[in-house]
Amino acid sequence: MMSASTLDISPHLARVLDANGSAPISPISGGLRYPAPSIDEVGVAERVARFRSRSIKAESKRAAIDLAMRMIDLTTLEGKDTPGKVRQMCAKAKNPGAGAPAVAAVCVYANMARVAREAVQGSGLHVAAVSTSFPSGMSSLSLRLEETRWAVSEGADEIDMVISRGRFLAGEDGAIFDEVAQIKEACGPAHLKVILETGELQTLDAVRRASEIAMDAGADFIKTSTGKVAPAATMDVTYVMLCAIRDYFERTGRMVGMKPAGGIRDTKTAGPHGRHEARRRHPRHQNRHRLPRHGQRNSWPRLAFPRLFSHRRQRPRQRFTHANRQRAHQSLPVAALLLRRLTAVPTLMAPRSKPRSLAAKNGSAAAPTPETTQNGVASDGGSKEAVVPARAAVNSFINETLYAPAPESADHVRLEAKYPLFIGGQWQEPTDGGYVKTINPATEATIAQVATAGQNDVERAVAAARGAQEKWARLPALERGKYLFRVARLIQERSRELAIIESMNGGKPIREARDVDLPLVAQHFFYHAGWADKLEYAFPGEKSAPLGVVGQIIPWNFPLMMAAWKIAPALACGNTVVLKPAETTPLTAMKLAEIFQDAGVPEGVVNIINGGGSTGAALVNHAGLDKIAFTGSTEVGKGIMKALAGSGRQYTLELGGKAAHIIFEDAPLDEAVEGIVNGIFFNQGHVCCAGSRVLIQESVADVVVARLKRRLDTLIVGDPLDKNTDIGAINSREQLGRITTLVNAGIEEGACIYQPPQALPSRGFYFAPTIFTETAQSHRIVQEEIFGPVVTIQTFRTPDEAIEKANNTRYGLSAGVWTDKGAKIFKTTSALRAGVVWANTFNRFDPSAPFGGYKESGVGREGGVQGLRPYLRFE
Amino acid sequence: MRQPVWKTYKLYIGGKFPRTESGRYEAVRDANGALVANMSRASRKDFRNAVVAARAAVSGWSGGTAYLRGQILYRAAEMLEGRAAQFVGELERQGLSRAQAQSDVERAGDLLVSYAGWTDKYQALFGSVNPVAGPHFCFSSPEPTGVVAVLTPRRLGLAPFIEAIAPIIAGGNACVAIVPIEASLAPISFAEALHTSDVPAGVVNVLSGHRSELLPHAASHMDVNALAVWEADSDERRLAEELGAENLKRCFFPTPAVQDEVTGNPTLLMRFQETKTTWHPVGT
Repeated sequence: MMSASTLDISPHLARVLDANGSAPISPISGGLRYPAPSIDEVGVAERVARFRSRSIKAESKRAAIDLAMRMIDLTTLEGKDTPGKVRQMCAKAKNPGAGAPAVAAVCVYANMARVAREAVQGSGLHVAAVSTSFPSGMSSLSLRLEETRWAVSEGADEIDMVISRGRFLAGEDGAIFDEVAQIKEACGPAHLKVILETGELQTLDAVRRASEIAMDAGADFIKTSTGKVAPAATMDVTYVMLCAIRDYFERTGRMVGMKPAGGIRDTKTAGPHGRHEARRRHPRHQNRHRLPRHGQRNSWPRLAFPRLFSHRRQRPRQRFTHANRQRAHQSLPVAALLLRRLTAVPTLMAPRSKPRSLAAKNGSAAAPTPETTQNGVASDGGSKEAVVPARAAVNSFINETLYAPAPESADHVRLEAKYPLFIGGQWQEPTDGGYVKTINPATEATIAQVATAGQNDVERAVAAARGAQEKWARLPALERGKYLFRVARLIQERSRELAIIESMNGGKPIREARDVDLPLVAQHFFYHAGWADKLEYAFPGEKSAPLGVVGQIIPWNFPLMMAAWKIAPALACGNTVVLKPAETTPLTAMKLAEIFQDAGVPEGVVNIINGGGSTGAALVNHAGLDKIAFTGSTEVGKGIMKALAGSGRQYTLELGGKAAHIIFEDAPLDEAVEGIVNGIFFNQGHVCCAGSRVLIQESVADVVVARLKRRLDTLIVGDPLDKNTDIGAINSREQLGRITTLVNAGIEEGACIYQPPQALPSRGFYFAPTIFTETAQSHRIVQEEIFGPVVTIQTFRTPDEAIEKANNTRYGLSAGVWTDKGAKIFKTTSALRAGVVWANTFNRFDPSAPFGGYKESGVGREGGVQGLRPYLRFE
Repeated sequence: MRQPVWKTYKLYIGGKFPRTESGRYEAVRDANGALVANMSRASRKDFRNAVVAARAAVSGWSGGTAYLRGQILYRAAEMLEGRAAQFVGELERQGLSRAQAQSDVERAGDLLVSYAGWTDKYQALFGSVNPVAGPHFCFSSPEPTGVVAVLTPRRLGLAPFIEAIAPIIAGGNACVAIVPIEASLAPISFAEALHTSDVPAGVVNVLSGHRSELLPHAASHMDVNALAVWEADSDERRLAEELGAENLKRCFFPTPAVQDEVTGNPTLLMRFQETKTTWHPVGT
């Protein structure tokens, strides 16, 4: 490590180095670059999209807007400012009227600071002065220091400065540090707000680095933008800055304020209706400003509480610029409780010289006290710091106020009391099967009865499919495709209904059914529809023909999506099918049958029969089929392969997995933590390709685990139909039992369990998100597929060790890698023996991307041109 | 009169030429009943040793460049050509006419040249860049399955052997070839050509043995990733898949191409490949 004395550095920087006891900076060709974690832009966009997809009820929005208003700096920054105008603004700031709360501060040019100071005297309002050659800082440092001192002497208690963006972008980090540090010194008792002008920094890496420099150099607030240059307070930028503040707080104990600012000009803009709407309704605003990017719309309530800080942590101070707000357009009932709850938190202003110990960085400096989760398992609980009094308040705020229940209405959904078998295009009563109840795993309530197919029913279904096959294959290929295009469209039209039923019958959060499953289902039909007339181009030099009749057996984790994955390519290739949905999740397949009827798909082309293992066995053993396509467990898959052995019937098998998810020390860690969460808690972990084995490089293991636990604490487990639920219901009592058994085995084998303290619903099947640390390769929880929200953490030291551990499994379906280094990505992804490898992302799916496993995770691929081959016969 | 020096035929495992550990042999005689050679009859243990050697060879063979694999296979074809007379002689002694033997050996060489050319081309034909609907770059490419056990055609000749092993090794796999004893003279001799052509030890292992004895071991071995049984009858198919299911072995039952086919078959090569799909975000 380079010591401070060997570098040509500024006295200010040297002071920080001394205080920290180690060098926080490293020399990079020609300049000193601040060390800052790298940020993955796409990962941030995905994270932010999750905020945006949350449903925030009116009451919560009002509360958030109220809080936002209390954070506003009411601003006037114009050449034509007069003392009278400033006084008028100060009066509004004290009492905005219409029941709205007072704002936080007024913001003026330094020459108006004295006027403002006198006008707000006694009100508790702050006076902020833009200074340092606002807005571009294009003057000498001495002038800017002088302006700062003058503004403070005129009565400003907050100074707004902008960093020299040019020098920052040129890599002169040391100079920027000095600039901020010296202006902070010149501020004396006044607070310093450092404006990064994030719109000009362009990359999130730069935003993060600038945030770090500003905070280390003494900024009391960091702020996105002047509002003069371009609106820049996008959710992505705000999220990155809040993460920086959070990490700085954990490192130093000093809480820095956050100020998303720029371009917010009226309450309509600030409110839930969004800027776009406001602009449209105020013609005089049209064309005066760039239209906001999508990310800025409707963002305030979400920005106010993006849940970066779990309820056991303190929130950063937030302050919003609200320039030129002329009047409140609407009455805003004050949710006074809210602010009191939040402000009851003692502000932590640790001395700047507090040493940065590794322990503090990892958030475990403050005496950890063991606590007991609702499952009765001891956990380390993370640090409590000084926020314990606030925890209950913030917790209840999050659960009761911000994310008030937002249940998706199921009124629109039409479900029959009974669903017979769908054979030959008709609903037919079972001849030798019966009816069984299908339930909602979230409530255990029966929602419908479905027929199960007996041996004879399977015969009828196969016969119907056989009868229709030749004609279907002989259709002009484009016509065949057009039926599938039509199906894709009908699915899109009915996607809300289908998403709700998928959630009700399977337990998955409505948000996932709506945002992931259904779009992919429609896309799968649309994609494969287009292949129907292009097969001869797909396999040049080979002559292909349809296989014939295909039996398809699908699991309960993605009922409709698996149906689409199976049916769409089979039909596009000219086959007809008999599909058996999973026993516990038959309902969306019944709806899909309705869609095939509506679309006029010829009778018998698609037959859907429900039933359990015996129905599946009857299908597998049926000699009249040309192929079995199966998705499910490895054990059943092996059984199918044995059953078909020597029969000449083909098979594709998509089976289990135990994916390794490798986090290298140079990964964008915040996005990696999101990746872990998405990798294992997506769909309650009922995902064959779930990232269930996380391997973390030892040097960052503590910090990643700490952040993962913090993130876990913010996940909402509950009603799948609530639009804010992150983790829904376990699919069945049986599956819940399997998960519980394996988790207990993990505890018995000596692994350390962590589950966030959160009450689970009393009815229905639920399991808390679970992390196991201190796990060994031989543990059952590391070797066996759990198929639930349970992740094991192991550490490694070298890339080879990571690859070795990752491949040390009988499975080979998927894997994940997180690193910022391109060469390392390719080395690792090439060495991993898995069919799908996600680098710096996880759990992405697309009909054009082949999916399927190595080793005991299956045979064959689904999706893409590679996924067509298993549905064709080649001569 | 000078007595010819007879050749001892053994097995080829991990770049060495051991006798079978079982000590068993089977005599191959010509039409007149004269001894041609005592061939080793490979055992289960020989097979298991060969799998260990093959597994050890996979990472080096598949990890090198495709161009290098192509050059090495071409080098093997050169060696084959240089020793053509030996292979022709062996086949003649077993009953093929000179013309048949010559044409067989020529075809064997041509197939090897053709597959040498495939090593760096099939990826482009069978891989893809996937136009996924999102800010990700996504591509799929073939990767070797790993260790492949292959039961080569019963037919006498070198070409059937090459036809069976070339698509496996051209794609970066290592193979354990089980050759019918009566047809194993030329393949065992060809192992010597392989041995002098930079094909790393363990990439090709040649066992002369009985199908009925070794198929169950090959099908049930948990470290064999794929199994190809040429000219399999229905019992062999059933046995292979039933036992192979234990580790989801990829099982194929190819039939020989028409006699004069000399172009390597890329779809056959692809039977011994997995498709890996890789995703990465596109952003700054």
